[in-house]
Amino acid sequence: MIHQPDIAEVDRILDRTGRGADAVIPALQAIQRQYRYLPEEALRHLCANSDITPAAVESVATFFSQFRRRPVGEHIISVCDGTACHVKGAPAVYDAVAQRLGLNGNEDTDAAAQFTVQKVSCLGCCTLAPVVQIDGVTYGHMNPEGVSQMLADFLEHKKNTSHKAPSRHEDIGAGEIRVGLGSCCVAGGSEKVRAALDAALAAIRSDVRVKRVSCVGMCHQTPLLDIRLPGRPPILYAKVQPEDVRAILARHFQPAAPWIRLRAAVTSRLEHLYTEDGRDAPRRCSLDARDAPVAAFLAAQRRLATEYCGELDPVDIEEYQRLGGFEALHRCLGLSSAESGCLDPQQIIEEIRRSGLRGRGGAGFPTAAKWQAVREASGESKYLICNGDEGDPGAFMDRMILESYPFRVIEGMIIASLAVGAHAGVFYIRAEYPLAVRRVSAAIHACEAAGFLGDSVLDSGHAFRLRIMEGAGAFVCGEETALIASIEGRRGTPAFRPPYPAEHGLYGCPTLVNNTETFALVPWILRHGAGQFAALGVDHSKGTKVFSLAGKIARGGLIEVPMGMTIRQIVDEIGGGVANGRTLKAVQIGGPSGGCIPAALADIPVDYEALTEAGAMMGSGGLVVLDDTDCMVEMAHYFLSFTQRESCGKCTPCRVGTKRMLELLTRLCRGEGKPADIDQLEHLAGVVKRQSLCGLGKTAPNPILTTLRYFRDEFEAHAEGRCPAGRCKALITYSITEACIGCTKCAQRCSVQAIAMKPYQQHEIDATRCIRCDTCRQVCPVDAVHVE
Amino acid sequence: MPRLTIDGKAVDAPAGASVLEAAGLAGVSIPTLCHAPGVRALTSCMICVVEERGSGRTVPACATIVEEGMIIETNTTAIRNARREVLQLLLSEHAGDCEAPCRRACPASMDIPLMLRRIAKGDMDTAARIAARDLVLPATLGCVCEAPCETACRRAGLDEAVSIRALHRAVAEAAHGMRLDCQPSTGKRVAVIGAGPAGLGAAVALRRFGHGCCVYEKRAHAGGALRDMPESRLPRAILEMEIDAIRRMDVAFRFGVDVGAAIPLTSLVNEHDAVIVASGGIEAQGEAVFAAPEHRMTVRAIAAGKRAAEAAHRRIALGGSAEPAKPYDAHLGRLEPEQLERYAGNRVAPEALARSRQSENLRGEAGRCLHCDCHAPVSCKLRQYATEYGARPATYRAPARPEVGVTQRHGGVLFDPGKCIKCGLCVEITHQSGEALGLTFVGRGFATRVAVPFNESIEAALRVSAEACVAACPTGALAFADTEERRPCE
Repeated sequence: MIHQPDIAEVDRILDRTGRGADAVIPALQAIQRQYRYLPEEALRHLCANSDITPAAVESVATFFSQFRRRPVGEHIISVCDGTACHVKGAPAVYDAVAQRLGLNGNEDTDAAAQFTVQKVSCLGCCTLAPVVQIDGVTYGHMNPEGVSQMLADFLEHKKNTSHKAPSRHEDIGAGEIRVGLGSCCVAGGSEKVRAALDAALAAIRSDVRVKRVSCVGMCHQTPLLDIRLPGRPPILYAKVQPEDVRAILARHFQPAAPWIRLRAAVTSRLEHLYTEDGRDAPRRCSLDARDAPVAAFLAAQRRLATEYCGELDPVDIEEYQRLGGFEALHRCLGLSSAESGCLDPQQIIEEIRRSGLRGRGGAGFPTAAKWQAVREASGESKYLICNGDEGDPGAFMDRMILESYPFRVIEGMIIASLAVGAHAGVFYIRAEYPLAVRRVSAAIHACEAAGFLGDSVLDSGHAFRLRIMEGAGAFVCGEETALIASIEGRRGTPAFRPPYPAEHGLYGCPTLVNNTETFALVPWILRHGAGQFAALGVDHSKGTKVFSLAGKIARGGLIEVPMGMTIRQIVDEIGGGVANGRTLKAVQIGGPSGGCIPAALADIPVDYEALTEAGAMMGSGGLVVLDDTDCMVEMAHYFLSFTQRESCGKCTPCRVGTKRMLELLTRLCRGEGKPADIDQLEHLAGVVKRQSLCGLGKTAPNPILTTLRYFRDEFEAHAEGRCPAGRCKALITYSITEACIGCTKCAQRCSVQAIAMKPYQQHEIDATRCIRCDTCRQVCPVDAVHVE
Repeated sequence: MPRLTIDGKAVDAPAGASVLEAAGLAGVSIPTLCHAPGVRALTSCMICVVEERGSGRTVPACATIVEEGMIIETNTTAIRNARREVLQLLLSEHAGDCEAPCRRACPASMDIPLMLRRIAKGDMDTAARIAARDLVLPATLGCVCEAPCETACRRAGLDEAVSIRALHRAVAEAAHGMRLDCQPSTGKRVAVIGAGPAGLGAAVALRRFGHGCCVYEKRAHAGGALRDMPESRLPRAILEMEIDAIRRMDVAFRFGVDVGAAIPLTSLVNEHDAVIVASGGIEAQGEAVFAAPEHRMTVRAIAAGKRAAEAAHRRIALGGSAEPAKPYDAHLGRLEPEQLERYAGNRVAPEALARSRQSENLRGEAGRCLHCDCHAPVSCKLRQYATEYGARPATYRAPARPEVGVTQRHGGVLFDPGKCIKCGLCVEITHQSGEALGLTFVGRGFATRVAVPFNESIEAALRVSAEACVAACPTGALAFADTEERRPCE
């Protein structure tokens, strides 16, 4: 359905965004929100009525993946192809969606223009992998055969979208129920659970308080309900469904008025809950912190950036203050009751220096040195940027920190602004993280109202203001010069450094760019002192690091551990080992800039130097566990296809080199490669690594170089036409062995009718129809599906 | 003024200057594709990399600001290899020809597209001169040549090849034998043995270099095997006309002299600065003796003569310099029918595209040419550096041929996207000159291309900056449709 756009709306948008050349990205985002794509008439009108040029519009609108130039279907289906989703079968889910919509070739919208399907880099819900999002609704743990059901469910729920805003209860006399409302939990259905809670509590006229809390980190158990009753230990319900809510309530809370019908109705569910109240119930069970697995998940962690995880209401500034928030800022400003005298900027930097804090964005540059450089740079205005453009597929630390601890990051930024002398700051947050944008925005308003931000921070005379810039979808904008270019309204292409942003950054002014997690650690350091921070960690890597643990792991989630912990400890102790009893093959660390560390090296510690030495890198902290069914050549292909797609296209080595490398890898994965291709791949990887302009290009070959280093035999096997892990579709065939009991499960689930239904007989797979989606192997109860 | 060392030379460069500028001051040339004076460093091509000894880093010279005490190496093996790799990557996505397929197919490397364009413009005299210069016997070849050019002609894929042979015959006949201009006399003398096509080819080339030339022929006439052809294939009058034109270029002929039998080769060698053997039966031995073997294909024989003359010229006039490297020659290769249609699209006017082969209408027929040759065969820096750094085109071979772009042609400006290396100079220049539309990058990563916003015409994009953009374009991607650039010797 294409409507003639109402051009007058563009004028209203320009009134909001401003008409300067740097308004181009916000203006295009607003236009797209209005029309759901960028109609050319609207763009021409935009150019005619602002300083934005046609060249700028074209170059920006085609650079960022968020922007669409063609009309889209009524609903947009985003299939996440982040690392965790990828290894758990996202490509097959995408194929199934495309097949269900009847798409051919490069089509992305069905004939009725009802759905448009797209692959997205990462929705940041790695523990629910594979994830599909339709408009705002997230479906986790998807599989190809569930696609039809998902679409039906979506259309069903769309019809009754009477979403009333939940009211907030202040009275906590009868107890409190905490609902995790981080993206993972929301994706896991916590909004539905919360709506059910509100409804159920209203029904029993209870005044129990429902509190939303930050991400608990146990994303493998979402949605989580945490029941707090006065004088009793907390009770945690995991993987709660809306229909469980009444039962849970009935179990813990007395209704204000007895309602026989309700009670009768829930009896059976209540029993179900009681009977399944065991430790191993797969779907729903109550947990408590004394349970061994939960204890293991939590015990080895050390929470600094994610302090008060699962307790803090993300946007409650008073609670943040009650729990020590803004104490560090008070100390810097000399307003602390404990000590007298303020910390001058140099003293703040010294404190950071003594703590040994290094940038958490990946490269690990010493934070104090960066601050010092900005402080010493001459310039009328200085800027601060919080880099929350977390684009790694398989990483969601920044998202979680921004969603759960916006005040902590803001406090870190205010302290940094004092240290470097900046008066304006920008939050650069991916547009794919709408919840983070909303929370940070609310937190900024709260801070302004409370005097933490504004013309005089806590009456100190230091002015500091913050604004949010939504990234429009380009991984390369995580690189600081590209990030700055995009804030200035240009394509996100990196510039050669030096000059570093510390001297010549945003609008040519000295600019401090730090990662979200780095800022989040600052208040803790200044509150507890550099010594306590430096006491954690190892030689050159101090403090803690937040990782998103995902992939083939029993207990995925967001974790924060002291630096120096070994990979094996993280996987085994915190993550509970590899899922489904398979064996650990490798851990991909650092995302597309990092590498695959083989199981044999799992005892290396996570610190900057050790990881770099192993060929990986800390990166921003994605940690994806791979098991023996994962093909390393396919993984290399996956990461390279990501960086190749995300290459900005500016410098030749990265623009053309990554493309040629990807072609070589594609040939290998299709069984069309030759042994000489492996040598050329290695050679070209060296060229791209040495000769690219920016960090993206220089690190893009890392996943290939590490897999070549540790798993060269798999590349050689592919050159001979074999995929040892049985993953590369062109190199494998599915067949059913004599072990088949004729249960027909595979035939029922096969989405392409490649298996004829033959009850009580051995089934057969029609190789010409088979799309190698792996469903039959997964559903077979007797392991009779053979892949080779 | 910071002082730095570039390739061992100390240089004082103004503060804030780039290493590239400092190298210019030191007289060290660093190759670059994406840099132009007055334009900020774009750091897109990454050809200008140099080694900064202090950090050991390989950095782009255009964007690296000079510092006191810097030590820069611009020409190490590692740096040369790095540049070659980048060139090879650029060439792997290059969709265009340096030379037209017809010219490449011609053994005598005749500048066919240029000749055709002169004919199409009605400038028959220049066309005839080009034909005579390259073919030596253009009218004769117009009768006897196997015309590999027409087999290679890309137009043949659309309908029929351009009648190249008929056209060079027609212009040459109309010119009644072209006396080509010669360089002032060098005082050097070269003997040519044999007055067949190879000998004649050598003689004309030598005279054009300004060398004295005497042709020794055992028969009584010049022309060799051409004389034995039937009149129906080669009218004697045409051959005579062309031999006469050669005679008028002050080529001396000694007929009836059997070198080897009557006069020993050594005596010719002693009396001349060089000897070219263009006759069978004599072995070309000795330092100043060059062979120009005859060939049953006349045009090959003529080409052999020209090559021998060039070799002799290098020895006697250029101090024995080595044969210059053959310029890198990018090949677009054979196009599938649909690609060919896209390719031909805007390269010629629609009526010329629709016109079928008709060799009697000279101008109309010449207008059918698709102009496959590059508009910047000499100034193209990509070609120069590819030649200089020995880039091999097939190193990084794409599984599919690079996309053949649709040439845009408006108001005299021509944009051939297949030759664009996305350096960004034109984008930057149109921005600087305040073009209302200008050019811009569209897309991201490998798919990035230069385009006019909102799909407007290239003419609308370049209202004021066409000249600057064409001048800055490092390849033949942006050009004025009517420019012809050729090497001085052409």
